[in-house]
Amino acid sequence: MTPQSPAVAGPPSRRRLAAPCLPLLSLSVLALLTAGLAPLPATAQEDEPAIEGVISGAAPARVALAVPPPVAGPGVPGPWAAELGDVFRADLEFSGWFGLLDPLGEGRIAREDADRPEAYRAVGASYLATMRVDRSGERVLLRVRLFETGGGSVLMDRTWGGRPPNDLRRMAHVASDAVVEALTGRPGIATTRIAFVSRRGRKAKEVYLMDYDGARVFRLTTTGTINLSPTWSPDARRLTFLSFLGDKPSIYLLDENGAVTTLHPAGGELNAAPDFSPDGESLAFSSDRDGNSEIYLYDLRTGRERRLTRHPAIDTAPCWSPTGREIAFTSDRTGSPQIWIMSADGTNPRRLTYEGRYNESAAWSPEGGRIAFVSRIRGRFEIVIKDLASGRESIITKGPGNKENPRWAPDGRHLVFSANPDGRYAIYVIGDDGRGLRRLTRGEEAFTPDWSPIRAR
Amino acid sequence: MIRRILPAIALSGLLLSFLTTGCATRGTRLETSAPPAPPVVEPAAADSAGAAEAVENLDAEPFREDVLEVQGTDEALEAGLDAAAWNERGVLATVHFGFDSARLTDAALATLEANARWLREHPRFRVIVEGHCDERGTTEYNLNLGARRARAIRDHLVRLGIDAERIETISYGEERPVDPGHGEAAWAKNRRGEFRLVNP
Repeated sequence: MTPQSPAVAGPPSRRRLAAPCLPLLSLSVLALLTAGLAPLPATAQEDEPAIEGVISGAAPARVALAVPPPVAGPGVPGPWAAELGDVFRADLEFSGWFGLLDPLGEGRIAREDADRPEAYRAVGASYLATMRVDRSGERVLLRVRLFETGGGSVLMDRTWGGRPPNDLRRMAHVASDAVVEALTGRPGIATTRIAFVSRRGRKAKEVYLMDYDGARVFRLTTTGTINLSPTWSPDARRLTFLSFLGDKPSIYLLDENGAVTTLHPAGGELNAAPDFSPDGESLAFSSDRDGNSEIYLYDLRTGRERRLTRHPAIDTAPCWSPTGREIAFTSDRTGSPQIWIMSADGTNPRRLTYEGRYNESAAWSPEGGRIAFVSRIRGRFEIVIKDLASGRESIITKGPGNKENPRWAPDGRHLVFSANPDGRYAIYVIGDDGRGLRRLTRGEEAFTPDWSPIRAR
Repeated sequence: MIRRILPAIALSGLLLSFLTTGCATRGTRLETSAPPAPPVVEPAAADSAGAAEAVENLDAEPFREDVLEVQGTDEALEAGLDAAAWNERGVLATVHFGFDSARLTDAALATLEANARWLREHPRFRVIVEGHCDERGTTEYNLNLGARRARAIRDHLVRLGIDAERIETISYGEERPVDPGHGEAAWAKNRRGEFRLVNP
C-alpha cells in the first residue's frame, strides 16, 4: 500500500493520546483478548528525573500467560536456572503481548497441581509456559512447553542447548521468541540487537552492539575518532555508519566478519546518513558533492550512483519505506527542517509534516503505515508518530531533556531512541503507545541507536 | 594599526612592564607550542622589527638575549611560523551563527573581512573551515547544517578575493562543542565556524 500524504488535507492536529496499535494476531490469541485478561504489570521505576511516555486511555488487553519458576534438574546450579527464568519472563513481559502470572510462586496453586494446565485456568491464566533446565555434559538444555489451560493441549514443546554461562541469556531469548511466535503468529524480537555509538575517551565515539534489553554490550570499532549513526542492513549481517576516520566524514560498511569497506573516499565534503534499501542492494545517503546536501542512491553491487533530489535546501536523513517504493527524508526547503516523502526514483516529493518548525529524523515503521520522527515542541525535542492513513500525530514522550533519533523495533510495537533527561545522553526503548519506557545504557553517553531487523537463521 | 602605534608605546615606560612578563618566553614561542601570551604582547612578537629596535634602545641587560632572538624582518619571522603556531595565536577569529541558521551576521561579516585580509597577506597557507552546531537538533541534520555554515564562510571568503582552491570545508555537526554546557550561553558559543590553517 502506498501511504497517503496528508498534505492535501491540510495539517491535522496532534493528539497526546496514541491508540494502542494491535497488529494482526493469530486467531487463537484474538479469541483470548476478550477472555482471560491480566492487568498490566507495573513498569520498573527509573531512578532519574526521567522522561516519560505519554500514555492515556486504558491499558491494552494482554493475554494472561502463567510462567512458573523453572524446574532445575540434577547438577544445574541454581543461578543458571534463575537467569534463564528471569530473562525468559522479562522478554515475554517486554513483548507487550502478555500479562504474566506466577500463581505457583504466589502459592495460589498447590505444588501437586504444578504440571496440570487446567489448574492454571482456575486462577485466570489462558496459557501456561513451563521451563525445565537440565545438564548434558558441557551443555545446558532448556525445554519449554506451552499449554492451553482450557483443554490442556500442548501448543509447543521445544528444547534448546547452549554452553553456560555465556549462552544462557541467548537461550532464554530464543525460547521466548518461540513462545511469542507460537501464540501470536509473529516473530519475537528478543534475539534482536541494537547498534549505537558511545563515547570512548575524550575525543572518540565508537560503534557498539548490545542485546535488545541492554545486556551484553560489545564494542565493534576502535578508531579513536568520531563514528555516528550505525544502520543495519535488512539481513542484520552488515552495518553502515559514518566515520571521521579519514580526512573527511565518509560512509563505511562493516560486515559480520569484521571486514570494513569505505564508500566514496572522494567526492563531496560530507557524505552522510546512509540507509539500506529493503532489498539490501543499495544505500540512500546524502552528499554535498554538488554544492549542497542532496540525496543519492549508491548501488552496492555496481558502485553506480544516482542523484534523487535537486534543491538548494538541505536534503538529508533518507529513510526507505519497507516496500522500497518511497523514501522519507528531512528537507528545510520551506525554511525549516520538515519531513518529506518522495518516490524512490526521486520524483513526486511532498511534504509530510506541518506541525511545528522543526521536524526531522524520520523512521518508517516496519508495517509501512507510520513514520516516527523528532519534533521540537516547547523548546524540547520529542518523539512523534504520524499515522500515514489518517494523518494523525501522536506525541509519545515528555519530560526533561531532548529525545532524538527514533528507530523502530522490527515488531513495529517498540522504538529505541537517545535522550538526555539528566544532561547526558543514553539509549531508551519505549512502546509505540508510550508505555513501558526503559533505559538501556548507563555510564558513558550513548547516541544514534538503530534496532536490528530479525535475523534469518 | 598596531604596527604604527607600537614604536610609540615601546618608547614609553610601559614597555618595560610588559617586556618583563612577556619577553622571557618570546624567543622560544616562535618555534614551539608554549601557551599564547597576553594580547598586549602579541603585536610585539608579530611586529618584531619595531620591538627589537625598541628593546635595543632600552639597553637593559636582562633582555639582551631575547632581543637577539627576535631579530629580523616581519617576513623572516613569519616564515618561521608554521600553521600550527598561527592557529595557536588564533589569528583567524571564529564566527558565530543563530539557531538553525547559516546566515552570516554583521559581526560575522566583519570578522571574515579581517580573516580574508590575513589570508591575503599570507598566501602560502591553506585553510580548513570547520562548521559546528549546538547540541540541539539531530545528528544528521546538524552535520549538514555545519556543512552549510562552512560553505557560507567559504563562499564569502571567495567573494573577498581568496582563491577557492586554498579553502577546504568540513562539518563536525554537534560533535565538537567548545562549551559542553546545555544552556543558551553554551549553545551560542558552539554554533560557529572555526578556521584551521594548514601548512603548504
